Amino acid sequence: MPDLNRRRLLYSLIPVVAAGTATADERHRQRAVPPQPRATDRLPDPLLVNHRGQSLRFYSDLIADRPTVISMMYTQCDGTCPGTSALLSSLWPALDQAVGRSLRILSITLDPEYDTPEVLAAYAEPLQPRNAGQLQSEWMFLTGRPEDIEAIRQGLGFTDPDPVIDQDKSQHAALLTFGNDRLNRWATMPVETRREQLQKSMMRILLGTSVGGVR
Amino acid sequence: MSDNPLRTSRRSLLTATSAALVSAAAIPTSASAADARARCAAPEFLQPSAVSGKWKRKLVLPEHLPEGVQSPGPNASEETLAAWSGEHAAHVMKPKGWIKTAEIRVALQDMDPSQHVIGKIYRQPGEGDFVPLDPPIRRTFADAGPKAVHPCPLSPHIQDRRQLGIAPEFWGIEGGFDPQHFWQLHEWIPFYEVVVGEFDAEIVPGLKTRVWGYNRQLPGPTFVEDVNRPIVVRYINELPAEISIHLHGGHTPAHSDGHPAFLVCAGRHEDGSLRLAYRDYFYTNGVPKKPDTDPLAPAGFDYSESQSTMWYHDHANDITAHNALMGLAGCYMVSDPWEKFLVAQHVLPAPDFHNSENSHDIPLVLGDRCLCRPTSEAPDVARIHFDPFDHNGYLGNIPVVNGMAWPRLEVKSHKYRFRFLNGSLARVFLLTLWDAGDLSQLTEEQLEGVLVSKDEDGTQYAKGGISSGMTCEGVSGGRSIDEPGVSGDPRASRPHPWVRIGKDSWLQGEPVWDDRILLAMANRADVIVDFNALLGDRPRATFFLVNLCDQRNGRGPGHGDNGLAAADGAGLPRGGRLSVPSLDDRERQRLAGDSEGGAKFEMLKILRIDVIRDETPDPCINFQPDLSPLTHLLRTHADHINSTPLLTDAAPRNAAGELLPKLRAHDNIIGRLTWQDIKNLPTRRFDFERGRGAWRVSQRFFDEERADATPVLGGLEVWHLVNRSGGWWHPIHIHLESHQQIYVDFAGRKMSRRDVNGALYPGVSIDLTAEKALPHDCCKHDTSILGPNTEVIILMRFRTFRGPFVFHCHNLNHEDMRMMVTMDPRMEALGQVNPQQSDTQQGDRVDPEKTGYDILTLSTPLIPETLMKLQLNGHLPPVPAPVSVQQFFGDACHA
Repeated sequence: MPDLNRRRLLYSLIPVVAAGTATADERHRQRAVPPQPRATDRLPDPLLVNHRGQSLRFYSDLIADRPTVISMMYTQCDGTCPGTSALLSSLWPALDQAVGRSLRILSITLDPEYDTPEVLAAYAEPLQPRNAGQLQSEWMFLTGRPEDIEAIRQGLGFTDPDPVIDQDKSQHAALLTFGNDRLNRWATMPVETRREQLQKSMMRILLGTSVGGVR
Repeated sequence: MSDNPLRTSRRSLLTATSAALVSAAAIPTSASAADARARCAAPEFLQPSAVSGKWKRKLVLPEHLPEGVQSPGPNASEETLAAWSGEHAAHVMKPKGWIKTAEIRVALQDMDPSQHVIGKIYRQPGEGDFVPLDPPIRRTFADAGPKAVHPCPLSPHIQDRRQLGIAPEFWGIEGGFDPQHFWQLHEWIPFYEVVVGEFDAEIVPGLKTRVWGYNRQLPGPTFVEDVNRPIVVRYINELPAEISIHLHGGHTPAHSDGHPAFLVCAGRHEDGSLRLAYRDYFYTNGVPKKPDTDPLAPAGFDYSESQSTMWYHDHANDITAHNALMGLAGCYMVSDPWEKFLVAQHVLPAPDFHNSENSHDIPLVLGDRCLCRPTSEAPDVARIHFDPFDHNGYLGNIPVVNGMAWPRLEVKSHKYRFRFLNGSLARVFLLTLWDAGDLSQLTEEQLEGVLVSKDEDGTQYAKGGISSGMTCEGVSGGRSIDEPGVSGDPRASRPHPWVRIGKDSWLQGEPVWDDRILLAMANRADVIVDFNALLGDRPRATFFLVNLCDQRNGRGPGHGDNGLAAADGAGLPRGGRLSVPSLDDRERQRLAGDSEGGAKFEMLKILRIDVIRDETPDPCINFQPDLSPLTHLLRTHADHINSTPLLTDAAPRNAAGELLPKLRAHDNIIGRLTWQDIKNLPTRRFDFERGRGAWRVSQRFFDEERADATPVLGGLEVWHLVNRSGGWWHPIHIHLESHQQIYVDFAGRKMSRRDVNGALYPGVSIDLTAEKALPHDCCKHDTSILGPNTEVIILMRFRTFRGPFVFHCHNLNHEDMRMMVTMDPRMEALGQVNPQQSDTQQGDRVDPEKTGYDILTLSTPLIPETLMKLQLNGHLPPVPAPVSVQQFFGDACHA
């Protein structure tokens, strides 16, 4: 009889054990959970690796409840990516000052096979502004599994309806998508827009109504 | 410890269990069950087939703002105002106050740098002098305390207030308005207040939807105004986002035209509290001067530009698509003495915007939405789905009319004027009117037969149903009403004809019989339907407004393929890619819900119209295509017309001054020129194309400080609007004035107008004016459709107001992604515009020193924080004392 009771006790603990031993993936997924439906709800949430080798969740760690600026690039691009990277490098200090430490600037690679974290780190090194050490927010270069990157690319709309253009990396969408997940405000602008216009719109969308007047 | 293996295993199980429990305790608490907020699952879309209660709700006409002219003036007491409002006092918006026209000019010059206020607002409380109201209006905000911030101050860099886009005809005029000028016709003009806020509306029967609306109405309140009587509207923003209100089709100064950078600041903080954010808009409701007329002359107005059906909607930078989808749109009706005369003489059906039950003039704002299915937590809530990451074009699968899905309209057996407005983001409508009985008997093949005909070699032609996958050789509406239908029976199996009298903001010259209307985004169409003739002998009948345009994605009408797959990638649904039921989608039609007139067309039906026989006679005359009743009218009433000043000016006349039997006389610009003359005019070319995932014009993206078109004020230009973007539809809307199409190449089909010598464009054989097909109408446009592989050449004038204005594609997702151009009419030509050259130069810089608009500077946190500190300490910027024109302009002031 005592054995039976102990067995029953053990069996009754199984659900607790099962809950306790949830996979790491699910734990991460449950971490960032907005109560209201948001535009980012249907973005995938895969694990990515940044240029410093840290593993982070795309949505839960980098977008949820934060102001974010997202672009997609690849290190071998000789088209718009160098200009985009220089643009982000020059915008980062101003955005950091205005938005604060919660800001994340994400440059996600379109070529995950070639762009490993080491390659991205070497690419990121010369792009850091002079006062990068004093900046509180972060600019990350990210890579991951090819299927995850493709899901992100589709989710963010960095696609072209023409399948020929869509599959050609060298004609990738040169866009900056920026928004504030907490305020559920998003906008996208082409990288070839003038820098002052980009900065103005970014301040407006990222900061929301905390800006006293849009003048 | 025994060596019983079972006991050992149990012990090890216990050990393992406790170890697991320990490690479970080490998991961060955010992942525990205590954190009960689950990440929202991907929303499933509400399918039309799942909705019951269709066609049950009565269509609601948008409530209106009263006509200020007939209303009692500022001398009226509270009781008089209430009595005038009648039984609709609860719904009718009264003017909040009155503004003295003579003071507007001064106020514009002296625009308070801390408030965008047009002028002092007066209200007479009783006997005595006019009493100015205290600015700002604080009634909405109980706490005008530290959180209230002065809205939208001008840039401190602007020192010279002439840089405010003031019309040049006011320069050098002393003491206020020229008393002969058109807006001096009214000493007092009404001042309205519109509060822009969030509320819940019932778009789909039985489900609440959070929307945004002007005056918390969906669609917004209807303005009913007179030509040449200006108004001032104050929009108070209570939304958590910036807005900018554009009066589409209006002739409005640049600071009130809804430029995307001239924003009304967001009025709601993150925590839900309100702050004061408003902006005054000055709507002239006016028309420009006739060409070659001195702008300062007292007479000579171009009444051919008098508008009829306009609308107002959001135009904020980068977020227009979202704001418009949430419901920021409304109707704006204007009428001039000539149109009032036509209504009074029963040529046009009579509106009654004060009592919409009796009105024979009905605005129908069409749109589409994609709603999310209600969840178990909120079973009566259906949110509007919007994907900000889709830049191709938003399509909804639920058709909406005046903010309601599948409504019912009850009409008498009279003539009605419908004002169709396409207020959707990317959907093109092909509107037809069907008898419910005919519709139910139609097979799909027969309906396709109406749309499509086949040549001997099997090539398909679209008969008015424009499909980008087909050639457009058969594009022709305006068929003879005697042409038999598909089955041979003249009455069966085809839509009913109606008379079209208006395109975009203007009445056409002549009415046109047609049985279908192609309505791209922002297009309007005024039609007259004779329900008495349609009813026949029956006591009652049911008709349906049916959209026959097959559209699968934001590209435009067509079957969605055309060799380019509407890729769905990882299977993530997206607004622009949502497949909409169409003629081919038999599976969906089988699933259709309650069927009235045939389940197969359930998804295509937009509005149900119940006609009930009414014995009261219909006063409206019978239209003949040649308007012969109108000719008779003019002869009968010639003396009256010729002796009434405003009517004299507005009535259509020929060069000799004789009255013309026309709905509206249009100044046919090309009728004075030869094609050689046109070649010598300043010419610009704009290529609308896709680039690098975004949308651009002539390889440049919208920049509010770079003008890519700087026409001379008072001048005439030729613009080539070219769309070779591979099957995409781009309706192009140009602010400030109307334009006229003189040449159209619609996917290979070339048409042109005739010049003064009667010649068509070299190499073209089809006369545009004789071709009654849409979108190639022969009168004024403010939104021209650029279909696939289309080039349109337009003539356009630029009058009255300096820039900056914009023109853009009216697919709002494209507009947000920078398919827009700054247009800055200026007093003098900047540099050479080579008439032989078709490309613009680098793009002139829009300079505050020269162009006269307040550029939004970088929003550094410093400025608003400084202001807030001033507020907290009680130091408000002083209101400057009024200065005379002489003082203001100084030496630059000259007549």
